[in-house]
Amino acid sequence: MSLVEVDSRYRVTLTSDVRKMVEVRKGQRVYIVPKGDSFVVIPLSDDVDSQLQKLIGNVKFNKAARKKAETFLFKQAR
Amino acid sequence: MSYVADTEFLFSLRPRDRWTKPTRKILRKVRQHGIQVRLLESAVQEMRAVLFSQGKSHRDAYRSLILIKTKLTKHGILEEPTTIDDYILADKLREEHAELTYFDSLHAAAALRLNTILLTNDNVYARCEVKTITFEELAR
Repeated sequence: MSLVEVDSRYRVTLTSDVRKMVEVRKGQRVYIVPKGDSFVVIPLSDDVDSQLQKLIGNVKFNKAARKKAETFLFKQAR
Repeated sequence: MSYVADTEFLFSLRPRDRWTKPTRKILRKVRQHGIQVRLLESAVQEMRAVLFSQGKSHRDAYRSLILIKTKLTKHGILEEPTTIDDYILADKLREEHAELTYFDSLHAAAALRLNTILLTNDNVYARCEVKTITFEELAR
């Protein structure tokens, strides 16, 4: 954990303590999403396409898959 | 011209999807020719249901959505929220058209409410008066 200050341009520093826990490089893009009274910062992969393919490249999207998703959803709602 | 996109558009952002090619052309047109494509919230809902129903984890889901959001933001694709009117119209559509799935009816309802064209490769919408355009047609 580290205590840092928001600077005059609203920037904050990711200290070495934090960087030891979550790998991040200079120039790397991060995704920031507000969460109540805090923020979640998620480092982004440089290669969005290959990361997307890796994550959901094998997911089927056709009539059968859509039907399965609908059944899944209704089951969750019960 | 303004269009709303269904779930296939989200999956076509994968680099090896069968619709990747026309989708890349559409994204180029959005940036260069000012056509407006908005992503339906119901498409995101359906995508999540598809991912979970095929065993993907919550981590996979949110990481995928971050990557997708990155791509959409880069190309100026906005989001279109689902309203109560959409749910009302969707249920009415399903009452009249049994062939529509839960998500088909939500996509169709939003397109009808907005009086806009649905970007889809599915021909299921023909009978419920939804104006549609395929990926190939819009990419031309």
